[in-house]
Amino acid sequence: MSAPGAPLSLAWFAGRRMLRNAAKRKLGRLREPRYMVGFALGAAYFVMLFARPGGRAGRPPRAFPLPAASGDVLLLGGAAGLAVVTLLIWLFRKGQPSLGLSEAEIQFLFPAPVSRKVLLRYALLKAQLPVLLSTLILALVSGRRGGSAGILTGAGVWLLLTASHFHNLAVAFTKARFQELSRAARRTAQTATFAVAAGVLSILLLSLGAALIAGAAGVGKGFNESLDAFTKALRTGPFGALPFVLLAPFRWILAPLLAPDAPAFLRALPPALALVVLLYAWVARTAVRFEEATLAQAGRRAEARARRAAGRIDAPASVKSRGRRPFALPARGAPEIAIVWKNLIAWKRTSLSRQAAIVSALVLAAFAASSFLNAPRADAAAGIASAACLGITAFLALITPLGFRIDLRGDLEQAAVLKTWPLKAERLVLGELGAPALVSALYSWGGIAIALAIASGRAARAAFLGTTQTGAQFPFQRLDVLIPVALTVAIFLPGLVALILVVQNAAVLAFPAWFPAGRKRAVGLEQSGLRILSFLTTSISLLVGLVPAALLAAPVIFLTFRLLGFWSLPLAALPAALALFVEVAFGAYLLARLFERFDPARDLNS
Amino acid sequence: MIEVEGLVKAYENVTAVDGLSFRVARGEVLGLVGPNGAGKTTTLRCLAGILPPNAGTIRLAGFDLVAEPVESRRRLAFMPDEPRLFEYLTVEDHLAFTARMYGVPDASARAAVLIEELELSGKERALPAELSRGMKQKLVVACGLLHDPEVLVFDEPLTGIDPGGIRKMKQTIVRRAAAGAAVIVSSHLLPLVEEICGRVLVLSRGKAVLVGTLDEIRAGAGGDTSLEEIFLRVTGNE
Repeated sequence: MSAPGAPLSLAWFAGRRMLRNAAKRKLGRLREPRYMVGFALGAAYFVMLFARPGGRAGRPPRAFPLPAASGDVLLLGGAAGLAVVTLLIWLFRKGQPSLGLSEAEIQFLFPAPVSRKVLLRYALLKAQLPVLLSTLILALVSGRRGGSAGILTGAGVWLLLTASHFHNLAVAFTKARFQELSRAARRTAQTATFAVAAGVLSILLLSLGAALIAGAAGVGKGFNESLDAFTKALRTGPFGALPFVLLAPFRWILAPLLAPDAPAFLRALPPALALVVLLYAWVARTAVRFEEATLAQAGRRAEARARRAAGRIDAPASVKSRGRRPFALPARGAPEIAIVWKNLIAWKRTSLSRQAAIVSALVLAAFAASSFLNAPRADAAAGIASAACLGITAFLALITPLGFRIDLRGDLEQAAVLKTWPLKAERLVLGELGAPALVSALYSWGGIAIALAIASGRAARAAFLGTTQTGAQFPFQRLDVLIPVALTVAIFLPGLVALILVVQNAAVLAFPAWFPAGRKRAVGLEQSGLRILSFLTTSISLLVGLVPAALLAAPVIFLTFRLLGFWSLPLAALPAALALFVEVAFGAYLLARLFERFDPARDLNS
Repeated sequence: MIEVEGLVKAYENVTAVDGLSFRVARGEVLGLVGPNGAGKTTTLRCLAGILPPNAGTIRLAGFDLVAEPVESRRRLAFMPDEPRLFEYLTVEDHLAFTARMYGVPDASARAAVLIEELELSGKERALPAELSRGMKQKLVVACGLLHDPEVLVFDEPLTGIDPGGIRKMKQTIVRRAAAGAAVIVSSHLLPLVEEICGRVLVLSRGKAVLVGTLDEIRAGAGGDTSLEEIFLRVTGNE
């Protein structure tokens, strides 16, 4: 370090060492084949995502043609939104002047012989790391449009995020400064701040409301006219040009980001930069005690990080909710039910009957909304909604088991405990697969029930009113199509979900060095690659696993479709599901053998 | 009650346990001691069915651990040195889960007694993250004792427990042995071993270098010598 205690050199030293050590560790890990393969796959994925100039033909994606007035509306609308958020922060955020440092930084920097100004500048510079990262990602994404779009977008995002960070600190510092005033002065300052913020917010909200009404009134004349009416109303509304003036700083900071080309960007740059400098000066010149708030925030962050490391994103269950269990668990009975019970708690502290009641309420609401809807194209809309509901249900049912680690994958970290349970390995495996299979099946059936409720609501309405459904050419609107299709999904999906779970668990048990156990979700390029590898393995295994099911279902459909129509599908789903369950049973047997061979001392340290 | 014959457990380059044989009778507490890396934890993990042995037999309460794993585990409680708990289950959830896993009759009453005995009252709704290390250790012991096991295996049972808790834990171990359980206690705390163990097995480099009652061991060492001195002498750590 050339100048000890200088914030830039401190931040540069810490950042450089952190990056260098992280890079060394990551590169060192690439000597292991799993990380090398993961890294290559992850890198290929991101190169494909960012570097490819869009479109399969290699052409840059075409820009969506926007109406001429849309630029003004975007700028004004965005500025208004930003202003509302800013004023709400002034009204409701508490004054906790935290610098956002980590526990280690506090440990080393707070007792160090550096001034408060240096600490503050260090914290501001450090906060630039995530800002620059976000800027880089957005610049890369925008860069796909070609030209200087990426650089301009990146610079615009940087200005916006930096101003936002400085502003939030300024609010926290100013409010904390109020706390250091005498009681009377504090009350005056707080009241004045609240009155000004509430007043400005009211003016803006009223003006926005008037502008929206004016814009809506102009819809009949055309889209451009409607946008013009909106912007004009903001300038000449009930408060005259005042809202437009009040929005000036927000327009300045947004203008570079929304600039359509380089000259416009350069014109918008000086006021935006001036605003950032002004906000920085505000933060730097507000003398406030930030130690306690920084320490408290660092503690909260460390707790959240420890939770994430243990695989839990959400906070621990509240004391009040800890009495909730999926179902009552008597002490006598099949022990695998206890494993299902335990894993359901790991998923959510709720009772299954409560979940069933929520799904039932949704089904009823869907039926009621569908049957009471009185619009010209309601029948067709209901048909589309039913089909979409079925599709989303099937998609979610297939995707959720991939990340739903409330089974052996999540429990293997505790393999030493699992192996002492008085239970045959096959029964343990079935118990472990039970919870995710149950949750997936229940939600799938719930989704199917909602799809049926939407369609049957229209049918019930038509029957009640003695009319015919319009747009009946859309097949999913007809119950005689929807019911057999839904039944097919309901029969086939649980087997398919169980097969996905078997494949995912088998991957972790058979290759613990490649697909680590536990609920922790690791991050990094090589981990993204390993997840892609896991997804590919699962997809290929599933395709192979689906062959027997398809071979059994195809002849049934072929022989009965002419006679039964769509009803041949659920009929064919029966042998297909049977084939899947036979495969699942065989898979569970293999999983049990793999579990018996699993050595916690060897496999959990790999 | 616990019968171990010619137990061998080897890892890639190391033989952690090398032909170990011993027995623990009903009502007896065997102290398993040895320097770091002697093979104590590996022996206990083999006894608990966590690690499959490479050779030898283990019989718990008359059942062969390899041939009849479920029946032998049903009679066993293993309390590891590092308390391993499910972070999303509360204290009472852990006990309810264990009760179902082992099919414990009158589980609620037993759980209440254990909560009282192990000073977990008031913590029924606490998650493991909210418990101290000693409390976690006590919860593991409560779960272990819930099904009234005939074989008890403790690995460093007193780690992280306060003085009052240590006294209660020692009483719990002795009481269970007096009720007819065969108990193994592995510990580096030699005064604890001297206090509660009827027999001692000193392990070094995977082999038993000394087995016997405290009196037999002292007599063999030539009189009024402490277990610590004997231990240091036979393990070559003098």
